[in-house]
Amino acid sequence: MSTIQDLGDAFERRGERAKLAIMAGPGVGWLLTLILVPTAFLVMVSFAEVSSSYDVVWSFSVSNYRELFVGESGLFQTPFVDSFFLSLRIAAATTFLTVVLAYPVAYLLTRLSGRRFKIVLFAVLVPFFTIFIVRIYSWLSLFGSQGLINSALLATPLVSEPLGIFEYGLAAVVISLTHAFFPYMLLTLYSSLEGIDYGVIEASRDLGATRIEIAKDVVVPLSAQGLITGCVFVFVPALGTFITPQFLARGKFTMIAEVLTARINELYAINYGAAGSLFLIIPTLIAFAIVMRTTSLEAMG
Amino acid sequence: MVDRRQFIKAAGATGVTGMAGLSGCMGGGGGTTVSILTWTGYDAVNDQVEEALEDVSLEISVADGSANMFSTVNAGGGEEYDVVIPNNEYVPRFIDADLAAPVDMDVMTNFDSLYPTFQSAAEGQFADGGDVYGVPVQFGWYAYGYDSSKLPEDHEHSYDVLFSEEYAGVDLTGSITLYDGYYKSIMATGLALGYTDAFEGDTVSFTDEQLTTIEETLIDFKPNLLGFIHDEETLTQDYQNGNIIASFANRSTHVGIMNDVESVDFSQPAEEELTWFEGAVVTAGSSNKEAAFRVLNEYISPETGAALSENRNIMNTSQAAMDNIEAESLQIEPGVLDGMIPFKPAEQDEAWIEMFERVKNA
Repeated sequence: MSTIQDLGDAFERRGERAKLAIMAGPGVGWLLTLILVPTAFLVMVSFAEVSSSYDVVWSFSVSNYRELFVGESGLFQTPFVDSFFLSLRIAAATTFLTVVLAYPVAYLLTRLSGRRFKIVLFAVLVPFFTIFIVRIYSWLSLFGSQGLINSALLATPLVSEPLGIFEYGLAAVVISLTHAFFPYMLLTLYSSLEGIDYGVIEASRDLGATRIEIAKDVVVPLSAQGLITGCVFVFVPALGTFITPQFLARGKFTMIAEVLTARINELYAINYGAAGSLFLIIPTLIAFAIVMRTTSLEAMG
Repeated sequence: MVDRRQFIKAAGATGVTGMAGLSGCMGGGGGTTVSILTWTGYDAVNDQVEEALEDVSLEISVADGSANMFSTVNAGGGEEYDVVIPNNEYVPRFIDADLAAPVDMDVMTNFDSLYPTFQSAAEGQFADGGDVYGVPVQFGWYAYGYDSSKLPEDHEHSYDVLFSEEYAGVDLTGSITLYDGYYKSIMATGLALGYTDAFEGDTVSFTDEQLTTIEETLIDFKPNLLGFIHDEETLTQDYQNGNIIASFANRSTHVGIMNDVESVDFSQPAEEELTWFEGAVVTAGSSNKEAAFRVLNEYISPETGAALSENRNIMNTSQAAMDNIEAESLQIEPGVLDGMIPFKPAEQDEAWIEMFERVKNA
């Protein structure tokens, strides 16, 4: 009797495994084919060389990595390093600004309901359903010494000459990226804030906590997981951004994706590009490791 | 009443007709399909080429620049496209990578109608081991455009305009743009600094000292630039907004801008223009070489060549085609080709690009 029972259990287990394989198989296959295999190829190419007839010569050379970090003037004196740290700073500034701007809006959304909630959400998100390049062209019109922002300011008695902050360049890129990635931060923060039990906030108020203390000691800690996830969702794409600086930096500086693209396109230096891309992946992996250690899937929304 | 036999017969006939129609739609039709990787505007003369060649149909793909064309063709092993049309300085790269097939001069009957300048350029820059590997198709040049409502037309035309805070009594601070590409901007700076000797060989070769001076000049002058910009839409918008007084870019780009901004004019600098021409290459891996060369022959024919130029706002390398063009913006003055400085590969490619990156991040 027990043998029949064991057989039945075994068939059931096999059936469950088969179901699991059918369900997970395509996803795992997709991950292997489109993420792991290309990444492995990228690693291989980063150690390869390109011959004078533009063929990839499979070898094990660290010269591509040396080229990234060792310049004529010494260690870390290379355009790659300059652009890499500049990109990190731009991504960090973008992330900070999206947090500052999205937190109050996300909090407001959690306090609204029904029609008012829908109206605010609609008003905030609708601009992001336009094509990205169209939004970039809008920013193009807004910035510059003769742009709409400076022109409007010059029409007032407050300003006598165009303001540098509204010229093309670093500020324009950060503002545009903040605008572009705002919804990622907003939605992750909202999903996190929405899960907070507002009884806790009321209790802290009853116990005499000020608004700032409530925000600092209750709201932020309880929404920290969403905050970290939002930061990753903004920081990672901002780090590798390409189109925005192409338009708004006016070629006055280069972010890391532009450096790698130029090397690959102009010199066919795919080995240099592969080595450089791996350094773009490292901050991304670190960011995801932080999220995985600190955040649950539910908190990611 | 239709019996089973009649039904099968009718269904069979319908199927055959359908398949024939479908194969016609798919471009089968028994002809040869020539696939071309090139710039925008070539598809405007597809019908004209197909009509002239009858058994050939064209499939045009557009690439974002010569470098991109090379990367695409090299990555695909050169079999995906029959023809690729990069700028002339990239043709040697195709030859070095064994991606180009020797030109079949028996098919290229219009080759003799090319301006002598381009014939000899092809026989020099596009030649290797006694064979020619590319056909010049269209050409243009780089110099600077300017807003004639601010900078008078009769100013002394020189690349110095691009590196001056004030020129002909006009304040140029923050109103200059250079090309957003290392190759063209470095060459223009070299010409402005008077390094014409660097352009004399098969490659453009600046000495280390010259390169250092070029870098210093670009870095010193960078605060005076509006930026490194070369796309027509952005330049047009900036001219319209009054942001630009002078811009270094392609002549055809400026012809496009002139259509929208009346006050924009194009210069003829004393140091001569930097001239490029498109060098059409039939790929070594093409299985339709003969048809591909017939298509190229058509691109420099008097009728199709003229139509191609008028559609793209770019001059044709064929004198016969140019004689057929009426558009005023495409007319060239006699002798303009005599002093041209043709694009050539950079001797120190990597040093140039690294220097340009340093300039941008300075």
